[in-house]
Amino acid sequence: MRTYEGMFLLDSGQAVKDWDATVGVVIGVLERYCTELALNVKWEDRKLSYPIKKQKRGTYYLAYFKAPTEAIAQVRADLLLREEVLRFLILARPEDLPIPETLEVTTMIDDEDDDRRGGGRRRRDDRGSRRSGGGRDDSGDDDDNDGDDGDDGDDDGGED
Amino acid sequence: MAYGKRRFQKYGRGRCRFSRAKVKYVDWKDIQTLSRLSTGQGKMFSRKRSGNCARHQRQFKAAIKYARFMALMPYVAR
Repeated sequence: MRTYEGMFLLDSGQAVKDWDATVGVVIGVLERYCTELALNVKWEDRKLSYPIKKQKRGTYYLAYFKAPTEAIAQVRADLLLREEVLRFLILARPEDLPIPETLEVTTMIDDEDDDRRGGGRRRRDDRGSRRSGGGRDDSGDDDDNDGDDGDDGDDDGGED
Repeated sequence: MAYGKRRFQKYGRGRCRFSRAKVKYVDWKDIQTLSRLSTGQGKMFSRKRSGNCARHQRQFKAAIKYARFMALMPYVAR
């Protein structure tokens, strides 16, 4: 018997239409195979990072439950047949981690604890350090227009 | 090689930010922390860039893969 953490991605359209029936599918499967359903809450309704089964939004449902190890395969097989469940992930919870009483996803690291240099948030690819090998940064050939924005094309005539 | 060590000695901190915060397991549902440790494209920061210890980098790797599978984070952002 182990404790498992399951997250279920439900069809947002059906969840809005009839939440109880949509969640009832998941709860019914879990209650059929699992011994104890510790915490089951609606986590979030959010836009997906990429479409799944042509759905761009989804409702996340989180459950902690205790079950024998053989039951997880049956839960998986049963949930795969349900159209309301777009995707699910069932993970064994570490033994030394307690089951939370309430749902709260807190940030593990505070903002002031972030030790990234430069203060701000750098959003660029992870290939910045390669530039230091060339040593071409201080070569002085900066590409700004160096003063010779001369007289080109003074076409200010022809208006009569 | 010694650059990183000197840098952390200068600030008087431990190396890994998860170890400093005494995080036992990296939570794959904490998208804010995970996205802070990945690029705008959605690629993971290397250990060199994030400063994570080996243990927490392994946990971070698994966490970001779970988050990607559940569409909490993108595999590739455009």
